[in-house]
Amino acid sequence: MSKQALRKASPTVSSDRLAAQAEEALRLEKFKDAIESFKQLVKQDPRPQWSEGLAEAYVGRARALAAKGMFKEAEIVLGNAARADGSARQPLLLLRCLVHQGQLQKALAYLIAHPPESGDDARLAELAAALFLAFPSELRGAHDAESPRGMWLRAAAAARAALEAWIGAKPDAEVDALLAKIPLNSAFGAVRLILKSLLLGPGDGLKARRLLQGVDEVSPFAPLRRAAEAAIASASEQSPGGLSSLDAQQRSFVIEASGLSASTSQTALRLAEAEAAGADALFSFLAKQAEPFDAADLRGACRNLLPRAPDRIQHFEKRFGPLEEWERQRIVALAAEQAGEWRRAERCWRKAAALFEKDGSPRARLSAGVVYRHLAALADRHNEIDGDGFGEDPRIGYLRKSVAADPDHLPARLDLTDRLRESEEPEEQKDWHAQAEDAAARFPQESSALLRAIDSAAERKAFKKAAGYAQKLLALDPINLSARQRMIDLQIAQARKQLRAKRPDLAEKALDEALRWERSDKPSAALRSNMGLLGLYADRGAEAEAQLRQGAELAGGAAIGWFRAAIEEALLAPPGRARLPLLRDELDAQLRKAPEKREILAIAAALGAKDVKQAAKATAHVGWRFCSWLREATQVPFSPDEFHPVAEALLRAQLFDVLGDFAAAALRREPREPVWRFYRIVARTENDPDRMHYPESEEIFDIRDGSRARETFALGNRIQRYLDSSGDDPAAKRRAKRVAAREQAFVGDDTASLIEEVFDAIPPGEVRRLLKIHGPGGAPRAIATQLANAPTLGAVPIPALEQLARILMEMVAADDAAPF
Amino acid sequence: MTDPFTTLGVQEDAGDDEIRQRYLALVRAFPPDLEPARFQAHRAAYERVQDERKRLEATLLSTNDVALSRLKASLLQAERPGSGRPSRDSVKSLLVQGVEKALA
Repeated sequence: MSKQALRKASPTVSSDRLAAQAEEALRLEKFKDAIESFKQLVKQDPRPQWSEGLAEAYVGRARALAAKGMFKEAEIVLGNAARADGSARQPLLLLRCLVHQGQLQKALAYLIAHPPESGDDARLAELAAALFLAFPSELRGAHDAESPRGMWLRAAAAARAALEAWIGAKPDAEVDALLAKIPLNSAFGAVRLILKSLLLGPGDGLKARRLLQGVDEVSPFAPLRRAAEAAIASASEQSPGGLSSLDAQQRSFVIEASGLSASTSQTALRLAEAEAAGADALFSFLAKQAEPFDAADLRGACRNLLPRAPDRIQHFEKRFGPLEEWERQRIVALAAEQAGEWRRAERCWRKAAALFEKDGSPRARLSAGVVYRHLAALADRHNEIDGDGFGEDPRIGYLRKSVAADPDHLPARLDLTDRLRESEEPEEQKDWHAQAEDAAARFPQESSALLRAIDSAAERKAFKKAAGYAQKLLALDPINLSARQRMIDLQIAQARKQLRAKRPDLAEKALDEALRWERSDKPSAALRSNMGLLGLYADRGAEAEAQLRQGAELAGGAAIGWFRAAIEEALLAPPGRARLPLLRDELDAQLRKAPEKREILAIAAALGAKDVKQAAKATAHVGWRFCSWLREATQVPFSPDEFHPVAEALLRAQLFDVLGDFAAAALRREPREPVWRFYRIVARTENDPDRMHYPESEEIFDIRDGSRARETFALGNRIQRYLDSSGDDPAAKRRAKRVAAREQAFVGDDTASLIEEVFDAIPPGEVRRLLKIHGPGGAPRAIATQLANAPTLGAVPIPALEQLARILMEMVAADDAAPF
Repeated sequence: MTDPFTTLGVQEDAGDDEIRQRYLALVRAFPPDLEPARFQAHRAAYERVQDERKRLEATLLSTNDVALSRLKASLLQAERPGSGRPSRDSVKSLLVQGVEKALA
């Protein structure tokens, strides 16, 4: 409501209604309206609650004005709310208004006239103390009174006297005596701490710093505290030269307190200012200096500024003499990095490294190693770094150079080994074995190098060698449990290898060696099973049978234990050897019972292990028996995540009907679940995407896209493997080869006629239309779907049609871009 | 972040022993229980320069303020360190700054 409207309306508005309006305006922080209403009310009847309301409205309005930066207006409005004795209702707000207007002395006058009454407003008291010391003024009042004001006055007088004595360089004892008169719990306590620390500073820096910690970071004495800290650090030479982090006032304080001559103080101040102004200004300042500075330090300081001021290189060389070429390259490289010019940085670093290599001294070789490692790290973060440009991963290339220059740097070697191992390039893959061996030979006491050598040797099936490395590792760390387990696994792998080589004696030796590393309180299921199997092959009867049974029991007992034992047999037995009747009978006995979910999951996981999949042919019969057994379990309710390893086992055993039964049963429970829909299609097409019907291909693309949209990447990737025929079952592998050959054929000599046929099925205009509707991501699928309807292309697999669709899109785009 | 040489107050070409001695002296002056932040800073700096390779990394791949610090230290070398007294104006401006910041 406007002021005019209020005045007009007021005669007809009752007091109660007006009071309600005023209260409401106050509550809604409409302070102008509240002020007008309360004014009217007070005019009618100066009731105390309305006077208070008016004052509250003024304070609110003042706060709002101050928030907008209108401090002068806020001060005036706040004056309207002053109490009868002239004190402000919001002293802090008033002080803020005065300080923002630069009226510090007025603020101090207010505080002296209305000193903080009690200890409850410590902040106000400290502000008063700081202002009083900044603008000394006469103190009136009874200093000896025991009132809060009397105490404040005494502390103020003592603090001022102590500060004056210190500034006047009076003897320490005199200043100390004055400081003792300042109560630590008073508003002037911070002054006592700061001055005392400055007295102690040069001799006892630690105690001085501890005293300063008593001054709060938000106190008005905080800038003085920081300056005192810097002065003490400078005097005690424990942290020289921290001036640049201080502001101008603090720098002046530190330099004046340091006891320097006037001219040196002046130079120190100019140096600090130049430093604060940036690298260029500092370089200019330093380059002009001579006495009393040390010439080598001047050169060093200017040289270190060059990466931040590369335009000054010429100036530097003129003033201090030429830079070495590697140094020049280093400076330009660092400057290029700061500018984000990565190619230039790479070029310069390479030149610097080449110069180090040419030098050949031990230090220069270490320097080359440092630079190449830095380039490898840069290549990790910036695509612009392209190494030698011969197709090799630049990170690998630079790490190779680093290792060549500094072969004793273990982290670089390990990094190189790991990157070679992960590389998809066959040559680099081979090289990781050489690097791992070399690292283990050079660093025989480093477990990280030995672990990589173990992995490398095991990958090459050099199990004896791997066991040798494991033995070295265990010599370094005998209680390393995973190393012990690794040793046992390696010896078992060696035993398998020896038995296949028809050397049962050596196989037994390997298992005996494994037994050395077995913990007595934690016998190994696999080791016991293998010992039993080997004993039974050697006709050792009861003892061997007991060991095999123990192994099965340790592996989980019942179906889980005997399936695991069967897997061990499949991995150990040489080709052509008949299976052990004991194992066959025990497994048969287990298979007569219906499988439980727990058993299915454990056995599927065991069949999915890397060594089992690698020996696919040898272990196929175990997988087949397991999967046949699963016919009894198609009603077991698996979650989609649980089911993937089971499905993999079924696919490897090629039991598509069982997979179909599982999918059908699960779909009855969860009809919309994409995993079950996917496996239904996989089962029907017998894991061959070429056999998909058109609606099935539509459905499978929907499931794939949906899973990617929901970020369920495991299913998306699984579907992609199916579509690419890249599963690990033998049929999928054969099909993948077939598809690759067919796709290769599409881009061969017959391409032109095929493209012609394709354009008959889908004209370029239609390609453009679909591209516009679906975008470059979705268009291949949409085009492939249309192509699949063409009679001549119906037999072509969907992935190949997608490939064709991409070619069509490129051709259409090229036509559109052509000038005629 | 201050470079490790400046933090420790050693030269770029200092050796392993010298750096270690300096680090231990700093640990004694700024023990971890009393000055944890400074101790951490000294520890981190020491780890960055404790062997030759690391020192080379620090000198080649970044810049440092060692020489500048020495220049400042030589400049600030007084006959009686800490014997000077700041002017009333310097103290006043720091107090005013404190009041202004406290009421900002």
